[in-house]
Amino acid sequence: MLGRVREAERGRLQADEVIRRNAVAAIGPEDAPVLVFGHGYGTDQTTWRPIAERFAADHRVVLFDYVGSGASDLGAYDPQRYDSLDGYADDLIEVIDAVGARHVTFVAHSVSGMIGALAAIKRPELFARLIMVCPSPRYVDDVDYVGGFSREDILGLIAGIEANQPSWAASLAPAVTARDDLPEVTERVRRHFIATPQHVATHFARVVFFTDVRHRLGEVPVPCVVLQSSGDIICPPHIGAYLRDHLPECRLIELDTAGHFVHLTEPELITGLIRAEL
Amino acid sequence: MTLTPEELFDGAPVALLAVNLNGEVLTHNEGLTAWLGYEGDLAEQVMRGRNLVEWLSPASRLLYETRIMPILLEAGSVREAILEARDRQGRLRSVLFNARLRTIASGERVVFIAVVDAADRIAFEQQLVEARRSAEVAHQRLAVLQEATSRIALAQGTADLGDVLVAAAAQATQAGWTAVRIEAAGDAPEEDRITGWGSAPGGGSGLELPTGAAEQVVCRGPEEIRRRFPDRAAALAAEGVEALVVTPIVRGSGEGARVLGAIQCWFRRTRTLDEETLETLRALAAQAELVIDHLNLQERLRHRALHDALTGLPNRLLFEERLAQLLAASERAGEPCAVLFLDLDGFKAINDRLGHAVGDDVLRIVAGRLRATCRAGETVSRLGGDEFVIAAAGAGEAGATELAHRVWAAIRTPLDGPAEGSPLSSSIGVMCWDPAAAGPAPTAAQLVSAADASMYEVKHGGKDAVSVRAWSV
Repeated sequence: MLGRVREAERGRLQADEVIRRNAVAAIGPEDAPVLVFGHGYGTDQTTWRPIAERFAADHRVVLFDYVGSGASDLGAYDPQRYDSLDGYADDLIEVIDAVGARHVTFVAHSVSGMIGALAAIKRPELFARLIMVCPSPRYVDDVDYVGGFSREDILGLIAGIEANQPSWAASLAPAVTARDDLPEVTERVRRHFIATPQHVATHFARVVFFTDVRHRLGEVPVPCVVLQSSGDIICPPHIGAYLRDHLPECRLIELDTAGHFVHLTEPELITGLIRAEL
Repeated sequence: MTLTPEELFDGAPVALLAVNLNGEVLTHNEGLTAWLGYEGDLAEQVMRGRNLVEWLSPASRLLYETRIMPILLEAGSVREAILEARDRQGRLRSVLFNARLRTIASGERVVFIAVVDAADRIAFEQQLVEARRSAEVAHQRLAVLQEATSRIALAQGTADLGDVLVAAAAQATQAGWTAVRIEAAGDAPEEDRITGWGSAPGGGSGLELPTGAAEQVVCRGPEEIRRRFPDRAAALAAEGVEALVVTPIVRGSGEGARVLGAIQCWFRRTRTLDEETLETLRALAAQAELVIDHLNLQERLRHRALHDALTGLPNRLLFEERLAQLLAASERAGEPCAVLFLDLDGFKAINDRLGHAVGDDVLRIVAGRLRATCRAGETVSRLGGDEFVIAAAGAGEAGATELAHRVWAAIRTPLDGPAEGSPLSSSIGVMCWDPAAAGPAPTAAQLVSAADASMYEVKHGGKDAVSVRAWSV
């Protein structure tokens, strides 16, 4: 009855444990409408921070790291729980519960978009809307579907992460001096990339890039907005239209800018688009 | 002789380029185009306005966007990343990639990149990485099996075995759900026929798969599930199952193979399920097969030591153990409990008139009626002869009286079979203990003998009745 014991333990998880586990940060007035920001694969909450702070005057802004990423508690990385996006959706649900929020706007970069979709299917009352930035329901090509990558490409990525791990860990120390202006950021990045075990990085990559959420899209019970970049390597431009056609309530906003990290490269633009949705 | 910086720029044995944050090439040296196999004007046409990632393999594109860009944006530089680039002939070559992010005078952010061809060295390094990775994987699998082996050696029964197998299979596969089923031995008593451990999709409600097959069943994706289990595919999909593997625990092989149980794993996403993982599961099943008989035998022996061979009910030893536990629990919870002592009226006449075989039959019928009358939390036991006892948790005087009358009525139901027509009734003595009223708990033996005394009063007062008393010091 191991599984059930685990389930029970999880049920007892206290709010402060979740806040520590997921490195949850909440800023802005407590009674204001809540905005939760979710990071994508390979990054953490710091990628959203500059944009998030601009909403802190009139919103309760919540930032967090999925377990295995950023400043999260790596000791809480349970390979069984995080073997599918459901485990990450549970992280998101537990974070929103831990801060006592309801009807939040979830701003989601990359894989967070589908994590938010699964969380909204499980707990519709937690979400008012999802704003997905460069999302994709499936990265691998299929019959009548172009995700952008073959299975071999993804396996190549995983081999690439493994091949790169030793040299990065060894060479990061001198590299970080490049940002003397932000010592705390560089230190955190260095710690993260050295501390994140290879097996977490490769396992998360498998889960993200081998997941297929297409068959769940019709169940998403809240309105969605998709911000689609014009030249995204990770997520080809036509994916935005696919999501618009398959999510029950979805508006597609096509951006006049390329790249997967539009929130980092075009923070003004993305801030404006988010504000227009609130 | 003097050299201009431009001559150095173009002559250096390294590919230099600058790109914007989206990867569009702003400028580059001749080293890059020469290396890619383009020369002269062609080189200019080829590079201008193009994106860096167009020369990367798809896997390296992913790596660039998900691993390199975030570091570059946060830390400002990346050193010695290994990427695969494609030259004019379409050949993939491994390169060492160094980059730094700078804000130029115009205020734009530019990525300065130096790329060195290091194919041979990287190939060698990759062999080392691959060797280390396989060694780690082999080590992990061995550790799973070793731990399972030592825990199986300590298993006290099939329940322990089930728990060990669930934990080991979950660790080896990271399955969303893992369950183990073991067929109980043929003559195991009904209440001990617990055959499942772990968790299954949908709380285990009918989604378990047929475990009759002697071969491992592997479905790596939804389509394979639909083909292999057409009638269950929809229900499995509704629970989010996208892959599964069933590993039978088999004795013997070929025609004579007998399936003793199965290790079942269900996954929330499509899975590769490589040969090493499948082999680990088969090794676990083989370990289980070796110990199942031994554990079943142990369980049968333990069962026999604690149960009445005629009726299968707990014997006096087990009853007193359970009653002692009940008294301790009642004392902690401050809840009452009761013991019913029951002696049959008319049994001796049946035995004398119709013989022991019919008498035994009647005892089995009575045991069945008592089992049917009692609920969870009530332990029925045969002490010997025609004496039975019942321990009832949470029963105050009213509850115990009600239970005693139900039992009394059940025994009076006319007999069928060889003893048909023979009158049978019972004398029942009930002893209740309420920690709130009667202070410290009696011992199990004290409470049973007090209930026995209470039953004797009924016997002497004309039989076929119920007497209820409260324990007092």
